[in-house]
Amino acid sequence: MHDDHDQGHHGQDRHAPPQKDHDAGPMSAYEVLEEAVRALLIEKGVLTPEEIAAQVDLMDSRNPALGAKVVAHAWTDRAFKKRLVADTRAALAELGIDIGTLAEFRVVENTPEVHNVIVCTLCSCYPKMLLGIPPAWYKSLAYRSRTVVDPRGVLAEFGVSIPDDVTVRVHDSTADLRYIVLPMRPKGTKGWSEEKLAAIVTRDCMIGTALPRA
Amino acid sequence: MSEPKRRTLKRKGAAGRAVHDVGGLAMGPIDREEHDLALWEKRTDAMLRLLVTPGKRAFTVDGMRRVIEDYGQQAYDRTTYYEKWIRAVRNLVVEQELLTREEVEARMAEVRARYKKTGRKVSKENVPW
Amino acid sequence: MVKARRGMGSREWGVGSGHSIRGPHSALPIPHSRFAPGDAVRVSDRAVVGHCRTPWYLRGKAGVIASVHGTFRDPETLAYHKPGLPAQPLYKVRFRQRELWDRYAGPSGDELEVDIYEHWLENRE
Repeated sequence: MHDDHDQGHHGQDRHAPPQKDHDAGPMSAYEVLEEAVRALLIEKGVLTPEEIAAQVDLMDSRNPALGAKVVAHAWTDRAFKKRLVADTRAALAELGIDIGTLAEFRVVENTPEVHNVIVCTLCSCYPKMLLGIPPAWYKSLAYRSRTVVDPRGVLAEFGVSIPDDVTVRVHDSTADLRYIVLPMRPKGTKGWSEEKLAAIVTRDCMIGTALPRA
Repeated sequence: MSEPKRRTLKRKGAAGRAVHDVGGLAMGPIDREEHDLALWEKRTDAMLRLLVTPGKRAFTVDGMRRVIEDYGQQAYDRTTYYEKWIRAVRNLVVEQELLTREEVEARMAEVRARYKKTGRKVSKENVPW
Repeated sequence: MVKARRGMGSREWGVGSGHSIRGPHSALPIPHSRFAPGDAVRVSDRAVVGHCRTPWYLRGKAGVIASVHGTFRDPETLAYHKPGLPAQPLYKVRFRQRELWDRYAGPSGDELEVDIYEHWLENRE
């Protein structure tokens, strides 16, 4: 039994509550800081309001639906799937998706022998330029600490049970590679359109904490 | 529960393991509640992405991580992801002499005062340097 | 076909597309890498000063090179506003979970893969 529980908020990173309107709750010091830093950087000519807004829009445009489209396309086009695994950046570029300069992406393919799970124990590295902002749990101390040492326990919490004869392979993203799981196409989806296939590929399927269901 | 060969599961900052290096510790059940990001969090994300791009190169993601890793264990465990990152952005732009500490503190006081005037409650807390 | 929206991959903030990106995290061409896929390696076990991307739970552990990613600038010095040169070959190293953890609860086939820079790896053969 570990003695972490008496220390407060372990494993439970808080996220700021959604700001519905300006009168909802007191402003935190961090929110004040963001406004102060942004205003100063704009005044100094380091950043412009337009480019900040453009980046906010860019991140909004990247979301799990985009990743799902890529997965669905890989499921229906075997040659594309090969290229996606061999050179993820180039394959995404074929679909008009530019992942920027901050990191390289690698797709890791689930097979009947291997189930992949992604984590970043040291911070919260995540393929944001494809999947958008990660969920709070992915960034939590609980997920980051436990996934490498007890992946099957973590998967069980997510309702996923992988048979013992299938290897669970955890990827700890410690460098500039960002990993995306290509889940296996489930049975019962023969003849489905890419749109219909994409609809069953959730964000968690591409992290490895869920399986797509037909 | 599995245990690493040479370390216990106690949450320590000593013995060569920094506070952010949490792989293999057991830090409780996973809270899967989903949250939308607040606008200030999205803007923090936007600013940090802009400041590390080749065009701006104010600092690197590595620099931001390094700053965050130097927060004490309490600060590390008890702040949210974006609270950590906006503090890191501030510290790095000051480290890189794009802004001064005095400018930041003065502007924070102004922003606080402005919101208070509109009747908005503002936390009296400070963001530690 | 996913259509690129305005703002995606824009050059406003210096983002290019294609392979030959030259930002601090680009995959520079590999001059010579010490290890090749299949090589038996051990993660160095030494004290860390400053920023490090080799997790504590791997120090001194035995693994096998799964693949070679390319050459990347060194995060340990990039973190202090230095250029991160010489760039280091970066490897995907595979470990058996049963060898990392004393009482790993899962089956013996379970694995963990981590991206590790060459200067944190030693030959085990």
